[in-house]
Amino acid sequence: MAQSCLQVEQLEKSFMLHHQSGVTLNVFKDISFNAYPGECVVLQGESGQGKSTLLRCMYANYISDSGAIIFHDDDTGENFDITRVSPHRILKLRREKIAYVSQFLNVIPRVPAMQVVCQPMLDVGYSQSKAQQRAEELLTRLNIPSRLWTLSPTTFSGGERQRINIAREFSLYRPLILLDEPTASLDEKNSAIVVELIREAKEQGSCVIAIFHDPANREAVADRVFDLSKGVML
Amino acid sequence: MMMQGAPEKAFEQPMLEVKGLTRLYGPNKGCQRIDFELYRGEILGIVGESGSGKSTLLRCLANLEKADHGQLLYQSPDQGQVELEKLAEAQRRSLMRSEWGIVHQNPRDGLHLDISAGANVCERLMGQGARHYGQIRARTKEWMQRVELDPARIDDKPAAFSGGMQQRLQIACNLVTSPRLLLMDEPTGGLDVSVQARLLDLLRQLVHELGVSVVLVTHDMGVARLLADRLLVMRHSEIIETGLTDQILDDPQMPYTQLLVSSIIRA
Repeated sequence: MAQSCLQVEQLEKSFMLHHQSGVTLNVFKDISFNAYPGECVVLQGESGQGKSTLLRCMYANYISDSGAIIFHDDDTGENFDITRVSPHRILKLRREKIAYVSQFLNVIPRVPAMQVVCQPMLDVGYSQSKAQQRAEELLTRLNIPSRLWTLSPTTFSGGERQRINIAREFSLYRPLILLDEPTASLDEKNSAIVVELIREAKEQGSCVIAIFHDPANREAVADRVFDLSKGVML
Repeated sequence: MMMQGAPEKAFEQPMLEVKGLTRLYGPNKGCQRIDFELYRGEILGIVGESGSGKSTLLRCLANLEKADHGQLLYQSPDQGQVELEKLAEAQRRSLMRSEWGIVHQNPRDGLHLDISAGANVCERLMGQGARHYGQIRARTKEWMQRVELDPARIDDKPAAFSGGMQQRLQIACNLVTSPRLLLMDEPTGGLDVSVQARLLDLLRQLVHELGVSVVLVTHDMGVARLLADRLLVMRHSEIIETGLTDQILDDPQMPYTQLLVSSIIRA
């Protein structure tokens, strides 16, 4: 039996809004599935059923109520329960093992696009020139003209920002890649490039967990589909 | 299958471990039962409103106030593990000047306004044993440039600088001796918004480049979001929540944290 990359076990998540009449929003419960290296699992469900929430729990951006999310590090053979390890460990996992493209793109003001893309590489010790070389390769591939490379993405269009974030998260090999609507703001040409990048990542052994509204893009990359409303792998 | 869950043994020694730090001057005034760890290269933000106790906490770390009780365990490269609260006063002060640094909210608290900018920087370098005048001056100019101060103003007195420039000078004075740990209290408080922005960018860049660990106190959640990796949220002298900055901002658990986060004006 192949070793999974990520094991979600009976995950439950709700939001308690203390200042909005103390209402509790139950998002999902009893979510369990495994995802393996080299495959793409697409999360499916209607709006509000918790697809983005589930991805964020996997990134430790949200805290789950109960259950476990176990990441298996192929390099060291160690297993980490993302819902329980220390923040310091999460920072290390994010730096080295887990990529994440969020649906809403937060931009740090005044940092040039080139720097945004280079940062993860610099964080693991690449030289400025090597990082820049790789960044240029990806930015060119994603059709970001060089005149934008020294500008901060704050003034870019949604589609441009999305491509900057994709370039950043695909700059290094990552065993786990979490993608929240990576082609939402992209035209056909650029969506196709993102699909290519995902295929290449799978070939390199990455496990990809993604949300795609667009059925064509979903078809192009999904190996399996997990339905959140039914709580089962289809 | 070896499982790493809670409680996880540290895979890396924290640079600073604070245990049970308490300094109270009245019921819930000051700080109490403060526990946290700080790792190399990490920026820890301490946030909370006025009166939450965050400045008291920083002052205890900076040896500007004596804690009632608690432990401060620091990993010094030369001396190994040091219990700061047990150090003799002179040794504690020496540590503050060499391996640690502090950037005060008001630059006047961290600078001698009546001696030149160069002399301010020089004082720190000489405190570390530097003696060669030419070299000291060259390093000073280099650092002034790094914090975007005109090196030609090396002989001007800080009293003649703007608030933002004084703050940059304070930062240069601290970073010139490559400290391992930097304490910062509202480093951009009182500065104009545009000046704040540039200063924050500079801080972020320098801290990243040098791999300095930072404890940053701020009431400004925007500053915390920009600079900090992790946050401690304080209220009425206690830590009420702690976690990764993005997690605290995106999924705050405690009622007070939710209130604090909901009051940030998002760009």
